[in-house]
Amino acid sequence: MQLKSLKNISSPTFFSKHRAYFDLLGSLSSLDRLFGYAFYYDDTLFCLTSHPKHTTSFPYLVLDYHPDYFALDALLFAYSASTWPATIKARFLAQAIQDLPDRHGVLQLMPFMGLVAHQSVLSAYLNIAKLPSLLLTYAQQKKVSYKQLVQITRYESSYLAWFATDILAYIKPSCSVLLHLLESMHDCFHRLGGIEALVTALDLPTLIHNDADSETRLHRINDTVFQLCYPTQFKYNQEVRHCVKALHLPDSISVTWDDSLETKGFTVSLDISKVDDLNDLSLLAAKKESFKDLLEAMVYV
Amino acid sequence: MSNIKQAIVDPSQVDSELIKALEQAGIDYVVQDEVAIKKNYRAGKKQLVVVDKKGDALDTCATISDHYICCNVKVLKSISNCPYDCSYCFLQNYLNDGNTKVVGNDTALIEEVKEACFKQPDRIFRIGTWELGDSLALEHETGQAQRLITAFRDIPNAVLELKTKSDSVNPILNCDHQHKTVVSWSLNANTIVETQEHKTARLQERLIALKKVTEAGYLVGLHVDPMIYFEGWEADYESLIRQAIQATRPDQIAWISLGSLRFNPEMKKKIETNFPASTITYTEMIRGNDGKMRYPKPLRMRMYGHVINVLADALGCDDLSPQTGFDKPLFYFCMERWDVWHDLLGASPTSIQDLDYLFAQSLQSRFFPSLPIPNKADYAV
Repeated sequence: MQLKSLKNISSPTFFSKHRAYFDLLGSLSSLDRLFGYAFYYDDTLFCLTSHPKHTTSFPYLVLDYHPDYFALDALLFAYSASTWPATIKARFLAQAIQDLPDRHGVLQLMPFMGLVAHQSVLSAYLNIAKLPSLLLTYAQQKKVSYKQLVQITRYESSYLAWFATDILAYIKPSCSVLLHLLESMHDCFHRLGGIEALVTALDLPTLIHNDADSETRLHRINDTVFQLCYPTQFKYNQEVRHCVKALHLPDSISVTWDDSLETKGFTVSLDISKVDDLNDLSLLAAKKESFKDLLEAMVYV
Repeated sequence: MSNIKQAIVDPSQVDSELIKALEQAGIDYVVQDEVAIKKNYRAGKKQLVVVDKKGDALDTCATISDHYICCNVKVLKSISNCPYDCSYCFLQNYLNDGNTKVVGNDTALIEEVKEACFKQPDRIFRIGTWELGDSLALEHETGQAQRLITAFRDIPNAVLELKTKSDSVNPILNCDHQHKTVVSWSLNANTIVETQEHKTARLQERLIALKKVTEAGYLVGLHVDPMIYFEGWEADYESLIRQAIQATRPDQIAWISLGSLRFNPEMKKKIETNFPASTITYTEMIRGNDGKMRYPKPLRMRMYGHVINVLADALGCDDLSPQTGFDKPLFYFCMERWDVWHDLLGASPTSIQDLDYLFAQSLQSRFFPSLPIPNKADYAV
């Protein structure tokens, strides 16, 4: 990007065709600058960055730009677009595809965002921009990466719209929990045959009951989704838990097992800190038959 | 016939036998030094690239994991990529180059096999050509299997396995195989063949081909793998097993394997992207100790148990365990845990090497009595 000159400006004007882009950039924290950026259009000087209100005159570097791109290339340069989150890049490109006369022009802007000017990359970003707005905003907050967003675009738009309005609006999951919920519920969405069946199976009104806070709702949703998505693991782990409970072991003895059910067997741990604790060893020996039953519960024939 | 329309031949391979097969099949080819890599595995399915053998072609099959027992079969990498398009195929996530490549230099392949086999003359080697492709799908175009069958006939301690989802058996029916080649099929429930195994021979076509090779005296293998869960799986798999056993003769079945759907976690996304109509990734799965996604053990065992019962009935054999005698086809699980073996068959091989040894014992006692009785030490048991 070439610099043309340095100007001191006291009453800057913004370019009207950039309005939609400034709306997008509003969600980014403003940069504390020692100077601003501007450009000439039809002999009028327009600002690319805002003017510090406490000064009447402020230095602006005037940028050159490509005449076909409405100075969007200069705008991207002024805002260090390569550092933007993928969600902002996606929204920016989606706006540019509406404003510029052809796709080629949009491709030329991509290197200013640190992106390869390739049709497939542009398509991926445009698909990201089509994600429900609430989901996009939340993904930006949680720093969901470009690759993760691309994976989210695999899901059907009807499913994503439902997830955003009926699930995400009521909870505040971390990035990893958000991705896990999206994937698990999507599996169930297909397994059950659609949203209606999924809503019924989840008993959604109970899950998102208004008197609960978002953390409680998230907890409920996680539990219910696990039961629904992993019915075999849920059922057999419950059975093992019942068997362990029936052993009536003291707190100093614990039984753990592989809850994915892959590894057969269990581990018995005994806490010993005083001589009396050693009596628990004979308790273990006395429960040999019950432990045998527990092992039998881990045969799935 | 496959969809192969043209071939590119490395200059070093212009005099190979494979070129004659290409000409007979009416495939146009060009001789070319360098062939650009195809990033998409599907893009290379319609064009054959005939290459020279580079490096070692003989290897041991797939994953070696302490938790899952595999059979220690050797694989001869004579082909890479496949004209078929199965939704669960690992090649979509494995191949760096999507070109369908066939080694034209059969002689070099055979020399490598002979060298390995002659170094351990008291060991029986099972060697398959199916790890990165289908052993017979391109037989009309390449004739490679016919040349391998003839070569293996003269290696006393090696058995060739040609595993396929095709019905391309006519070219091999008149080969002088001397029972040293096992022609095996990857079989699945008809619903799965119809919905997931795109461009392959239909189930009935595969079963007709199975009948043909049985009548041609070949040993055969049946691989019910990957078993896939769907509504109505019980009846469909039962029907498959009964039809397959009926299409062949139990005394010619060298082995029968059973396995269930499994894939690396990143494959889920690939399958959903490449096969949007497929629903196989939506069933409950866990991540196994080898890092692969698979059905939870209780579900796998229910599916295996059902097939084992039907198999036992169809074969007229109460006990399928390979550890209780060799008067039956050798039954084994592909990549399963020792406790799955134990709980379903009453016993489990102690190791990968032990299962390899069981194969050798079964082959020697059932089909090759003139070979020396296998010795545990030769299999590192």
